[in-house]
Amino acid sequence: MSGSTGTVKKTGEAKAPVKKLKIVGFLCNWCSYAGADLAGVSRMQYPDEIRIIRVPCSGRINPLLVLKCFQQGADGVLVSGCHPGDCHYQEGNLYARRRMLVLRSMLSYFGIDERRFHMSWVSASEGKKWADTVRSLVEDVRAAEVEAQAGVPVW
Amino acid sequence: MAAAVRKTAADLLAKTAVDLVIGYGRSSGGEIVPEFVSRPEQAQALEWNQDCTYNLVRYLTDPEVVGDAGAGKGSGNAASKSATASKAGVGKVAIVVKGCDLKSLVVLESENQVQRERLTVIGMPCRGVTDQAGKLLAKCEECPPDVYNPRRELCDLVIGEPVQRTGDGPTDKSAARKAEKNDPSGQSSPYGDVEQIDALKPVERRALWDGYFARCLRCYACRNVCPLCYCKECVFDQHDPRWVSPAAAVASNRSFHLIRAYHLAGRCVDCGECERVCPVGIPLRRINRKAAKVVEESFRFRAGLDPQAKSPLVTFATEDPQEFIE
Amino acid sequence: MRILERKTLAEFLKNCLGDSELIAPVEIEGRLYFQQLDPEQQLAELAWPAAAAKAVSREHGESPGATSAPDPLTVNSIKEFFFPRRQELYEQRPDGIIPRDAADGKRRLLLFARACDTRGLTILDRVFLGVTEDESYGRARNETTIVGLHCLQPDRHCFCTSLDGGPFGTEGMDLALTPLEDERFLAQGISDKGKALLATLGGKQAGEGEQEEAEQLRKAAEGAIRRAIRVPDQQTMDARFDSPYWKEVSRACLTCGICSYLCPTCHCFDIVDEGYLRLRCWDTCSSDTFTRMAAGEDHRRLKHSRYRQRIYHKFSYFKENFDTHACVGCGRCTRWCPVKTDIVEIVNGIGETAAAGRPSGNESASGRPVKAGAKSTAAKSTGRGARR
Repeated sequence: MSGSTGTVKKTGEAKAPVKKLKIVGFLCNWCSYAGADLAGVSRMQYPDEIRIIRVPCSGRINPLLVLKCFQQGADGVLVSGCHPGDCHYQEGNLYARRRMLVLRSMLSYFGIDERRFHMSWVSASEGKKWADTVRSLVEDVRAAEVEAQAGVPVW
Repeated sequence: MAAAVRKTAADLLAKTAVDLVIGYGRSSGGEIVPEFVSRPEQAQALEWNQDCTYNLVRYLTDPEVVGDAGAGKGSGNAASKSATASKAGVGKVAIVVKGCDLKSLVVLESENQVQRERLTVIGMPCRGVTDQAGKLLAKCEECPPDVYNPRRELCDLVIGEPVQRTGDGPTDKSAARKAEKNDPSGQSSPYGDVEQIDALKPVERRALWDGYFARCLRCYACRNVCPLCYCKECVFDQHDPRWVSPAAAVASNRSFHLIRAYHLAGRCVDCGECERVCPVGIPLRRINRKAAKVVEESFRFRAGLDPQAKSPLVTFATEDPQEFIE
Repeated sequence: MRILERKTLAEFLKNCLGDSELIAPVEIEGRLYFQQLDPEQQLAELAWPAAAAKAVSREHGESPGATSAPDPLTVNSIKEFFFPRRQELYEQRPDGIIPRDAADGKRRLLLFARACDTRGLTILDRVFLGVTEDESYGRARNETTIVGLHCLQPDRHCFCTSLDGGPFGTEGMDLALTPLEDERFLAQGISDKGKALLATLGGKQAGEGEQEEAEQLRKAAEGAIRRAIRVPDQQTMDARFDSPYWKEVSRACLTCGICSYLCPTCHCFDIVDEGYLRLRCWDTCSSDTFTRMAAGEDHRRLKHSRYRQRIYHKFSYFKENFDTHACVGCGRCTRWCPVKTDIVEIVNGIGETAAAGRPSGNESASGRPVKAGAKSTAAKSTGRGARR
């Protein structure tokens, strides 16, 4: 996996080091974590700014955990689980879907940039989708960072 | 109607199994206060007027008020329940409710937090309640007929005739006028106040709410007055793990309000008590109504209507929206 | 005593904005709060007290238009400017302690604090400047000049006069202002700091007429106070500790923190760690976690024991330790209580029931005396109650 830190030079211009993002990913053990693992063994390249926490099921994710990440300085959070119908525990991801929808709406309502919180369905065979998901997540969080007001913390 | 309330309460206490009537009384300072009457002759203390703003359903989950009369259906067999209830000294409980209060009772019932058969629900047709300056509360201006006249099928008794509200109170016309005021685009919406905030840019929303959260004292009056915040150990009182710092500051206050609203999503019935009690004037209804709007639009559910309904966040539908999911 | 024109005072305050923090009442969405003024606003947000001519006794039920320039008490007291809601103490880092509450050296002017608030501060002094001096509190006290305001409009919750105070009290003030007609103030230096400040403000000597005007206002304000608290003696308090009275009077209480946090004299706090940072924040004995111990024990698990504790701390233990009740009669606890728990009624009731020997049959379950067949007796001008 390639890193994305270090100086980013524009034509003739030296820029300050780009901030290394802190993104937390909650991955369900059976699908998303396996999918991420597949991406790894397949040597797929994607940003290393995501820190993965393995959980049994996306349905285990208490929205408080997502908030805790933001409170403790995370720039972005991802919750990833099995596709609906494929949950190892039958329906955990279906509960998660409802919870995260409400959570996302409330985060946005309080002015927290929506791009910082993502949810995805990644199955065990979707190594490429995993890499794409992380790439798009990092892009979104960076965009949020660029637009963020100076000196105002995420949370 | 106050006289009818007094007579009803006295009769219930004297002639039925009701041990406690929860209603409205008056302090010696002249203010309307919650009143707990346990003997027929005390029923004279009960009042009913437009200062009766409190949602008394809150007390049904307070064991120091109702003893174990509030114990849920799932907690042990009937014999042990009545034994516990008589140990606590409180058997059946009667409660005076307005239509808005009644909706919160419906949710409590659906969550097994009250034994409905131990309750005598006294419904009060209501012309609206007022604030400290005598002005009708905003929630009353928007109140529909099936709330200001409590639904009979949910009450054991209804005192007085259904009220007709015209002029100051809501009619179809005034409700539309009010909605128009909230949403000048002309499309009347029940969530106009929330949509006004949705329409702001994210940085404006952030500034708006952070301004309120800077004032928040973390007195927890909003939580403690809420009939649906009944957890024996609230998440905000947990030490291990401690989810949110108890110290009042914008970030932790934001966490508190977001989490509380999240815990009320699909449960809050907009009784408005939280906003009424906030000493620093945070528009809390606009937070809870946002969650209610999301739940209604995404899961087609409104709280407080069906005592058998399951809360939307403990269920799911196969066709739930997922456009936000990659 | 001198007469200060409002514009003189305003000029002086504007000049202070450069090198001092100004704390004064500010109106936000219909309520008054003590807040630090934003220098950029140049006093625009400052809520000046109503001039004497416009001061009327506030009666609930009168529509807002009926009273001109209502002059209610601020929601918050001034204690948070000396004992902050949240105060960082230090960081505990692996390589040492980094203090976080250093002095910033800024002077402060606290404006238009009423006698109840300033008296409250002198009560807090006994705690924070007593046996052990609280450094940051002491600093804040020294750095702050308090320009107090005599209160022309007590409301129906006020009872300062029965607790060694009054609307024209000066305890705790450096300088006391009485609003007169025509946007003038009668100014009186109380402390040395205040007298020195008054000397720099100038203003002509107050004449007999003006002093008489102030005297009339004082009488009117004191006369407007309709409630009196009668704290029983220690013997009665001790005797009533185990009474079922406490269960009854606390039944409606929601155990929130409004009374404690708005009270000018309540001072309990919690020590909290946020990561490396240790800080102090307000806490309330009403809370059901207040006496929770590490092993889960809690000797005030029941709310009536906590409500009783609140009353006893203020009117028995504090009195015994510091020779004053921990209450100034500002009425905020009742005014803002979500269920209007009435501290005057409850404290007065301790003595009454003691006198009667046992609760009379005409008490409701809440412990309030009830006249059989009583109708609503509160006099209101809008005839409310008739609508039902």
